[in-house]
Amino acid sequence: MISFLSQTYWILTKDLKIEFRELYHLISVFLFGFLLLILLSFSLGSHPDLMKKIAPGLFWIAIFFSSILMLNSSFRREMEDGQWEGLLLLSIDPKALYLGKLLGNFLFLLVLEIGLLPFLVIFFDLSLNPSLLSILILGSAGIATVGTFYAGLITSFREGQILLPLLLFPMLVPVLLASVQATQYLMTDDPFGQQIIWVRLLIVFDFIFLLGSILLADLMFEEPQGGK
Amino acid sequence: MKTKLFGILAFAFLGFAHYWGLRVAPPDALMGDVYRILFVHVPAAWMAMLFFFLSFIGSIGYLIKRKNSWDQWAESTAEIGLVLTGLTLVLGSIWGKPTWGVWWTWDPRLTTTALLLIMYSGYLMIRKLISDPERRPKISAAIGLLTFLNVPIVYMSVKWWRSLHQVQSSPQTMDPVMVLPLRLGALALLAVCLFFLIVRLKIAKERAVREEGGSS
Repeated sequence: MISFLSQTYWILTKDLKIEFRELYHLISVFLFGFLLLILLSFSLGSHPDLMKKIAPGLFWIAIFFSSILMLNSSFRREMEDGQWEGLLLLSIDPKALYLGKLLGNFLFLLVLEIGLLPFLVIFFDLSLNPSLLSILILGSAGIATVGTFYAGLITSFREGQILLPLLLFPMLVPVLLASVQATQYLMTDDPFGQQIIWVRLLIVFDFIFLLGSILLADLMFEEPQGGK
Repeated sequence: MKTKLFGILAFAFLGFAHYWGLRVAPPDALMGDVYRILFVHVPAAWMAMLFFFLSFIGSIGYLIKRKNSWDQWAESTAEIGLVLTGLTLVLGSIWGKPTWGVWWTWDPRLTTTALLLIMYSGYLMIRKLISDPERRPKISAAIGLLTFLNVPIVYMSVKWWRSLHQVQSSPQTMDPVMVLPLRLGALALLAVCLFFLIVRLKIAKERAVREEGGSS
């Protein structure tokens, strides 16, 4: 019996290896986010002051949409080729599988965000603050936590891929709200120290949903016959 | 037969409560007769919250006991909660137009309620999508539970915004002549919802029996 942590690590490295072998997937997700940023800035006209104000919102919307592309395919390989049965035969702990996938999605999201940031700076004429990284980390953790869980639950159904954003986006409203507000206060000035409220909300959200998803992770992989 | 009688009584009670709200209670000093929507709108909002909470209990119950009756409970209560949420929003809009001058505004209270509507629509949609009766309750219970976890977060997170929706009046700030019909209205709506729940649970049971007969 391999320990829980090494199982998690194994799942994570497996996904990372495959992902880097087939880089085109990561690149296409990145291009999608990049295109979204361009389209959003085109569609909203050229008012530099306005653009500066709404840039955090546009950035996070682009991240949200790109994350759906990523999440929808995060369990694709397990669904195809009977890999699912393989994992079950290896008696992987479902919690470890979930955590491994979650970490993978989290890292990809972070890479995507950091890749998009320079363009945000160029298009919207913004200045970056190093502590933005902590907001990126908390925000991506929120998206990845709930997103991975929902993706695992529903991508095995034919219509699941269309339903994922429908189910996920309303759930992630607190993350979107808090991330946008926190980013905004960071990029403009924050005389009343309001940013910390939103950062706290992100931490609470991440914590609650990480806990809930880990507790429920076993449900994701139960075989139809395997119910107690 | 008993259910039918209960239903008739519940609707009669609702009619009585609304007669009280529409005729007996005096018009409001500021809003005149427009305020009377409160006797329908507020109970609908209360009951919507109550039924979502009951659905949450159903999800937990299923995860612990693994009995299908818990799953049927979660589904039925969520459906009723969804209808009530829709009713709350529509009634609020009807009140908002003459009072605020707009049908809809992105006020936190309104936004969170609309989000509830979307979240639970998604929950019920996914239930309809999963055809495997063995896997459906498990997945729905998980989603139902997580969905409800978000409700207080959404609610609290937008409390920090400034709100247009008025703060709730307490019985102390309201005229007793108005408190009474509000309470009557809430009780009557609860009775009607319980009637719906009984009927809906029956349908769910029959459906489950048919599914079992079909699959084996």
